[in-house]
Amino acid sequence: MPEFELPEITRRIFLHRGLQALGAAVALPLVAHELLAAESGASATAALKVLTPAEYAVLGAVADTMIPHGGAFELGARDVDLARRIDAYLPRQQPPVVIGIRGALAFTEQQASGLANKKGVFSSLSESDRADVLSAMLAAGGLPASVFLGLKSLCVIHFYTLDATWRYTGYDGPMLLEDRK
Amino acid sequence: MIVQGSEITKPLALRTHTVVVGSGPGGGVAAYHLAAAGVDTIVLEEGGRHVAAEFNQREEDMRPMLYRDGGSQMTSDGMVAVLQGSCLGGGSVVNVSDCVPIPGEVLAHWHKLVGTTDVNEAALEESYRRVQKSLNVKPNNKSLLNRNNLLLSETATKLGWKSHVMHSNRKGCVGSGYCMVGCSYDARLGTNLTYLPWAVDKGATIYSDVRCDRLEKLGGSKYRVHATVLERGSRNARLPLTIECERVVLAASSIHTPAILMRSGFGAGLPQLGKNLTLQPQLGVIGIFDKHQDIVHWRGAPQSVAVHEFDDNSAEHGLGGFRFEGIGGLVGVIQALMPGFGSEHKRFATQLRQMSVTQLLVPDQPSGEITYQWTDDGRVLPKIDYVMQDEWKQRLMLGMHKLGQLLFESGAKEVAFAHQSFPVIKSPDELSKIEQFQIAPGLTVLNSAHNQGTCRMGLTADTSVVDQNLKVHGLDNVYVMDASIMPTSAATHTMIPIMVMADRAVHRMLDS
Repeated sequence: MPEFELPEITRRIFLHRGLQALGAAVALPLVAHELLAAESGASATAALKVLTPAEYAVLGAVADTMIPHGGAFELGARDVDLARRIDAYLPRQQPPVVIGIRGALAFTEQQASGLANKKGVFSSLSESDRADVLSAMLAAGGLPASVFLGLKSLCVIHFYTLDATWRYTGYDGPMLLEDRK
Repeated sequence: MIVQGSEITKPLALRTHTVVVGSGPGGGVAAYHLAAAGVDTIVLEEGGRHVAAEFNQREEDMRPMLYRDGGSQMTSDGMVAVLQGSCLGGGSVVNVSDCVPIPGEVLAHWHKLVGTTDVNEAALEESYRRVQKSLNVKPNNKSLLNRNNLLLSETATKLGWKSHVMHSNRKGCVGSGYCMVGCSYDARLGTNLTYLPWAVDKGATIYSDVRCDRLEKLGGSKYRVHATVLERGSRNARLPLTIECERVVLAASSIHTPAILMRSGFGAGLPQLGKNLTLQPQLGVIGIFDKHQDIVHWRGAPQSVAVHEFDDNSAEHGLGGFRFEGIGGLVGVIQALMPGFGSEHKRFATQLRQMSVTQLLVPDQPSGEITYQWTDDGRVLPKIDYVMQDEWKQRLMLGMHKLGQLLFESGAKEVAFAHQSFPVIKSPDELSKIEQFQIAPGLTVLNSAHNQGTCRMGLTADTSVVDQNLKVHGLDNVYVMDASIMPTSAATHTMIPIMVMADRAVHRMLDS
């Protein structure tokens, strides 16, 4: 299993796992900085609140792989622009959580492909190659698996709390008093 | 009076008799009884003040509002999610309302372990009476028991296993099921609806969005509390706030009370400070039933039945064994528990209504330690190191096996453990696969809602942080009244134990 040397503080601020989700960890400051500085698709992402266009693109690719279009039901992460929905919630998070999410995206984009012997950054890979990378992160255990779980939780929680998904899951939504809806 | 941070526009320098840090179960009880006794009292709460009208039953909105780090706080190895309520009312606003006393065996264990002589069932009796009356503690109304919890009790009966309907602090509950994200109906009687408003009625002042940073010892056993007014949401520092006082009651949780004592420079004489952490990690277990079974785990009282057949409490080791309790209410989080991703995960997601969700609760022994760093603006960054003991792992695996047995007996066609790669079990014969269950960060999804023990109670500063009156060893007039004082795990749910210990301590304080 590859070893990743991470600053202790970033391991700690980490994130979002399984039950508690919100951001995966591993802020690799240097890589994160490079990612933050990158430019892409500015016109399509002008309204982002926290993520950079590059981060948005990576998160979009992750979300699309975690929750693809089709399968048990048609709706997928791309159909609802899940990355934008997640971005819209980030201003409510405390800074350490956002740092963790940024680190997780940076790790996935820049370093995870190698775990599955794929060449190129994560967001440039085909759908099946991206799935192979996520599987490899899980199989690697340790930090890559923790990043996987953090990002999965981030995507799954924000997807299945979206009203548009409830018809497929059978969730009937909040039970508020009529005047509170 | 309740003052929210946004209402503070300039640095404040205040005076009072007693400062209570934290407004959860311990701080709320302390604040009320102090104010009721005529003590000039100020309560500081780092989180925001929120009311039922804001609780919209959407976890994506409520978790950042009501939980520390939006519910994403983890142990340093990423193994266990450590949940902390962080709002006015603290954990009493976001728990599932279970009201459980400290078992007698645990009190006996504390006597053996740390030498407590004044903490026994008789000494706590009056406090139980007061707390339970204040919170309307009663068995859950049977109309609130959902299919998820009834499956547990019915199947336990079938197997000859012991189970019971749990007590709760509800009043007027409609069974919406969103206890963990704030009750929209004000039906769960947390400190936000009881002790805190009662304290205000008696003259206490509560400041929300204010973080206590450290205590400065002044002459004559007085203290200056150094605090910071925060911006709501980001919790960035806005303004300084100081309070000169005669006495401080720390009730900021097992995670943050030690941070205040350490940053105050009091750690040198307290070698146990931040140590002896218990997390009582829990594992989510999901049963998937046939389509005609409409379980709908998110309605009703989420956690109302406990299967306690395998409890193993004793004076030798305190809380032991394992138990099963229904859980539900956070559909996004529960979807995230299911293994895998992509199309496989979507298949599970469509079976939400047919899922039963159970917590496998396995009490642990103290085996963790918290150390701290602080950012330049005073934000606390706890490093929660926790060692999972082999004996605990064995009980977890045995519990998984027994719970799997129960779920198949109840009609489940598949059983999934909260693990990202462990295969879904499709028959009782496959339960033997549990022997290969890997407990590892990123794979196993464990959570802790009952962290305790970092300022343990005992007789001396060598072995503990506070004495039997919950006063910090070696410091006049500084007390701790939260879950951190528990020498070992007090109970399977800690709200009532915290409140009872605080009630006892504050009455002793006032009596003296």
